[in-house]
Amino acid sequence: MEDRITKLRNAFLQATRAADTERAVLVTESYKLNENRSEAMKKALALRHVLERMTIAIHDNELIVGCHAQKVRSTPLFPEYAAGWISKQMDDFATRPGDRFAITEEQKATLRECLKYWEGRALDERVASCIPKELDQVIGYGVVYNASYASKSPGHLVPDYMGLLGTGFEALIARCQEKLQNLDIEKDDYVEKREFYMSCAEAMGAVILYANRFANLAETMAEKEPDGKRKKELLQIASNCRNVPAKPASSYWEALQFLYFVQLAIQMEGNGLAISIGRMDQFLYPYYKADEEKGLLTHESALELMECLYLKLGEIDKISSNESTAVNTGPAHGQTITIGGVRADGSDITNEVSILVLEADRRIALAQPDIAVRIHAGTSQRLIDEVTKNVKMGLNKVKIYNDELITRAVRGIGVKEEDVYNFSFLGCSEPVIDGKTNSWGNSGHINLSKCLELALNDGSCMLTGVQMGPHTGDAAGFTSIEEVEAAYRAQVNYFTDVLVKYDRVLDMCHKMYLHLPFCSSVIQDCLETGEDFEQGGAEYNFSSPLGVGPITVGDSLMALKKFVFDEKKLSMQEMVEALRSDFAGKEPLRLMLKNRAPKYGNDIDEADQMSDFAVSVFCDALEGYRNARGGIFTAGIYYLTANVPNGKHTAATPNGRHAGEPLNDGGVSPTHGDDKMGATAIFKSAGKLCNVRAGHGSVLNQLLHPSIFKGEGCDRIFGEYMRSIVDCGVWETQFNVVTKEDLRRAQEHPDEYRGLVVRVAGYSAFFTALGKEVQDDIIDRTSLMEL
Amino acid sequence: MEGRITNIQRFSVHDGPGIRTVVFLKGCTLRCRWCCNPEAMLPQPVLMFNPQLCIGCGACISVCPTGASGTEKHIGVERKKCTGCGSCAEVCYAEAKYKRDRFLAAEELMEEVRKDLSFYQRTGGGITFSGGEALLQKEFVAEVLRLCKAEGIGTAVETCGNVPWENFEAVLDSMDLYLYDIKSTDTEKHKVYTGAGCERIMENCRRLREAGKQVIIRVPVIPEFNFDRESLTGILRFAETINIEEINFLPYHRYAENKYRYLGMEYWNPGVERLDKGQVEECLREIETSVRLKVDG
Repeated sequence: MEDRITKLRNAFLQATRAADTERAVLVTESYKLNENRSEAMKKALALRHVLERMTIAIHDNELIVGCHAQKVRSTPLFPEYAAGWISKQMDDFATRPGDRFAITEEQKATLRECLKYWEGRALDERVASCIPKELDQVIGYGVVYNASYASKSPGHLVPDYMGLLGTGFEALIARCQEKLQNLDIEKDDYVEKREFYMSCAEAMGAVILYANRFANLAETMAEKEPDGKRKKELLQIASNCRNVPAKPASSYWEALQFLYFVQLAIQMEGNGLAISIGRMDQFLYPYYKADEEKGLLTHESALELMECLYLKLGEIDKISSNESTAVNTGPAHGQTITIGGVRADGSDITNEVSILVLEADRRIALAQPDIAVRIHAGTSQRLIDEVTKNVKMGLNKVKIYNDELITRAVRGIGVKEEDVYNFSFLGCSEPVIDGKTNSWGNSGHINLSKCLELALNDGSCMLTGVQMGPHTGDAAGFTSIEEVEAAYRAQVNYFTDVLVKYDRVLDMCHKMYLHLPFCSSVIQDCLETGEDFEQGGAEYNFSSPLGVGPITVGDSLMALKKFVFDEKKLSMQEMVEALRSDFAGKEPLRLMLKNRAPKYGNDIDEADQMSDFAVSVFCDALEGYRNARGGIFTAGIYYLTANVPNGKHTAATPNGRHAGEPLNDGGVSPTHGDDKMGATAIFKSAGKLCNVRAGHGSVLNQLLHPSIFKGEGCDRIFGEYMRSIVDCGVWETQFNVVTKEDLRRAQEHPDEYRGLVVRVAGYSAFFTALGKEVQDDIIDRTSLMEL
Repeated sequence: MEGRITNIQRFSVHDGPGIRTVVFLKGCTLRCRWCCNPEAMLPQPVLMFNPQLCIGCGACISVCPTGASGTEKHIGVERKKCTGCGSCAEVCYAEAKYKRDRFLAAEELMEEVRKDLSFYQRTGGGITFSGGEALLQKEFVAEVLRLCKAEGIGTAVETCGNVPWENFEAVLDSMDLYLYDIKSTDTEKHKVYTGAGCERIMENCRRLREAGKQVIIRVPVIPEFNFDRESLTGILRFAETINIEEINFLPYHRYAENKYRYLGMEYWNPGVERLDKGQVEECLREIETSVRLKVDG
C-alpha cells in the first residue's frame, strides 16, 4: 500500500466518531432568517448558508477533498427533519449499545438551543400531525412501521453521473435561468415552478461556491507548503475544485472530485440513506481511458485516487436514533458502487475501472463504499477472478447480483425497454435506473412472522393479548393447512394495506413539506418538467416496503402441515397453546418442530415452496397500489438487522423458534443452523422463491469458512459457484468469510479489531461498532459453519 | 439393490475435482486407530449419543426394547444391551441419540446426486464414494456408477484399497478417479496400526495403474506410525515405481474425537493434538522425487 494511503487510513481509524453541531446551528440560523420564503427556497438557502459558512479543511495527504463536518469522522445533525429524539437521546450518543458518537456538554448546550426552534416545526412533527388517528393506532402495534420516512429525506438514489460529469452545474444553472425566463405567469403553477427553478439554481450555486472555498484554501495552503511535491498536489487540487462541479470534468481526478462533491452535497441537504454511486465502470471509464492515452494516468495512480475517494466516502456518517440504530447498525449507510453487467448492446462492460473498484477495496477494506457486481452469462473471467480475491480476503463487502433475473424484474416493474440494461443498486438490493429513479427503497417494514402469529390467534397478539389484526378465526378449529394459509394471507393483506396507506400519507407529507432542490438537480427529468424529486419529478417512482421473516413463516407452515395436519402428532389447539406459553414444559415438542420438519435452505421442494408462499403472499398484497408520486409499490425482501428487533416482538413460532429470538436474517437466508446441506443447496432453495416478483430484490447472506479456498482450483470453483447465481435464479448473495474465534476475540478486544468489517444482512459494518446482540447473532451464524 | 450409507455431503470441494457430492458407505476392512469416520468403519448398526444435547426427557427409556437407555436420572447407552435398533433415536427430538445408518436404493441416491448436476457441469465435479470402504458394496457402487455415467456425472472413490481385486474390477470401467490411501509400505507396522498388512493394498494400486487408471495417492500422516522420513520415503518410492503423478498428505487431527465418545468407543490418543502442515513439509524436505507432493492443512 502507498505510504499516503496507509497514513490516510490510519488517520481515519484513529479518529473518533463524534457529533458535530455546526450544521445544526447554521441550518437553524438560515431558517430563522428566511421564514417568509417558500419551502423550496428555505431548503436551498439553508444549503447555501451551511456550505458558505461551515468550517472546511484539507487534511494531510488528501487528494480528494471535501467534508461534511469539521473533523474526520465527525458527523452533522439534521434538526429540521426531527428534533425531539435528539434532545431526548443526545445523552445516550456516547454510551448506547451500537453506533456511539462522542459529544461534549458544550455541544449539547448548543444543540438544545437550536432544537428549541424546531419544536413544532421539524418534519417529523408536521408529518405526525397529518397521520389519521385510526392509522396511527395500528402503526403503534409495530407489526408495520416506517419510522425512517417519517423523519428523514428519502435518500435511496443514484445521481445522473453520466450526464453531470459531462455537463457541470454552470450549464444546469443556465438551464434553470432559461426555464425561469420562459415561465408563463398565466399558468396556475407559475409560482411553484418559479420557486422550484430558483431553488435548484441556488442549491447548485451553493455547491460551486463550496468547491471554490476548497480551491481558495488549497491555494493558500500551497503558498505555505514547504514540500514541493505536496505543493504541486495542492495546486492541482485547487485547479480541480475551481473547475468542478462548475464545469464538466476534464480528467479522471476531476471526475472523482466532482463525484465526491455531489455525494457530500446530497448528504448535507438531507439525512436520507443509501445515496449510491451507480455504474461507476460505465461513467468513469471514458475519463480513465482519455487520461491513460494522454499518459497522465497509470494504473497505480488511478488506484491511489480511487482509494482516496473510498476513504472520503468512508467519512460520510449519520447519527440515528436509538430505535433506528437497532434496526440498522453500523456506519455503512449504503453508498453503493455498481460494476459489471451489460452495455446497451448487451455486451459485457468489464473494463479497467471495474477492476480498480475491486482492487481499491482490497487495500482500503472499510465499511464504505459497498460494492455490487452484476453477473451474467458473459461476465468476463477476469472480473470473476478479481471478485474472488475480495471475497477470499474476508472483506465481505461484495454483493453478487444475478443480471439476467434482475433484468426481467426491472422490466416487470415498468422500466422502459431502452433503460432496462442500465440498472445499478442502492444500499441493499434495490435496482434503480441510474439518474432517473426516486425509489423510496426500504419504505417501511411488515413483520410477516408476526402476521402468522396473529393468524394463529384470531388476530390477537400472543404476547400482550391486544387485538392487533382482523379476526381470522379460532385457529384451534382449523382443519387444514390451507385454512392457516388463508388466515396468514388475510393478516398480511390487512397490514400491507395499513402500511401502504401510511406510506402514501408520508409521501404526500414529503410533497408538501420536503423539497430537495439539490437532489432535483442531479436526477434527470426534474429540471425538464419543473417538478421536485419528492413531487414525482423523476421518471421512475417506486415505493418498496420490506417483508421481514418470510423464511420463519415458511418453515413454520411446513412444521404445521407435517405434524398437525399430515401426521397428526398434535392438535392445532395444543400447538397454539404451546406457542402462547413459549413451549413452557414442552421442550421435546419444540425440538421436534425444530429438528424433524423439513427446512428451507436444504433444497427440499416442499419446504422451499412454503417459503415461496410466504413471500408471494406479500407480493400479491402489494399488487395494484399506487404511491403519491404516480409509481407502484413493489416488495423488497431484505432488511439489514431488523430481524432482531422484529423477532423480539414476535411470539414463539411453529418452526421451533422461541419467543423473542431473531427471525431469519438478511431476507431470504435460512434460519441459522437449519441449513445443513451446504452452499449449493442454499442456492437451489433460494432460487425456488418468486424472486422475480419482489421487484426491489432480496438478500441471501452466506457464511463461508475460509477453508473453502484452501487447495488447488478452489478459487476457480468459487468463481463458478458465483456464476451459478444465474443458473439458480437467485437475486443476490453475499459472503461472510470469518471464524467464530475472530469474532469472539473482536468482542473482547474491540481495539484490535477496529478495521474488521462484517456484512450484516445487506450492508457492511465495522463489527466493533455493532450492538452486543447483533454481534452475538453474527457469532451464532459463524459458529454454525464450524460444526 | 440398496446401499448402506452413513451420510451424503453436498458441496464438497476437497474430494476430487470441482464441486462434489460425497457418499459415505458403511463398513470397512481396516481398523485404523485414527479413523475419523468410526461410525462408518463398523458394519453393524450403532447408536450414537451426545450427552450435551440430552434434555433428560426420558422418551428413549420408554421405547427401548432391551432396557439399554439407562435411567431417568442417568440417561445413557448400555452398550452390552444396545442392539442399535434406533427406537430411541426415533423419539429423541433433541438428536442426542442418533444413528448414521440408512439404506438407499441406487435410484434414491441418484435423486440426491442429481440435485447438484448444474454445479458438477460448471466445475467438472460429480460423485465421490467414501466411507468406510465403499468398494465393499461393489454391486451397489457399480449400479450407481452406471447411472452417473449415463447422465454425464463425474465419478471418484476414496478407497483404502484393502479389498479383493474383483471389487475393483466391478467398477473399473466407470470410475474416473481413485483417491487411494497408502498409509505405509511396512506391512508389519501396517498390521499393528490398521489391523491388516499392506501387500494387497499395494498390489491393487499397482494393477489400477497397469490398467491405466488415474490414481492420486493419499497419505494420512500419523504421529508414531508414519510421521518419519523413512516411512514417507517408502511411500514415495512405491509411488514412483507405478508412475503416480500426485500424492496428497493429510496431517493428523483429532476432530473426530467426540464421535468416538458418542459411539462409546475409546479414542486412540497418540499424545499429540495435531500435526501442522509445516511439520509434514519439514519431514518431506530433502526427499528427492519426481512425484508432485501436496500437503493439506
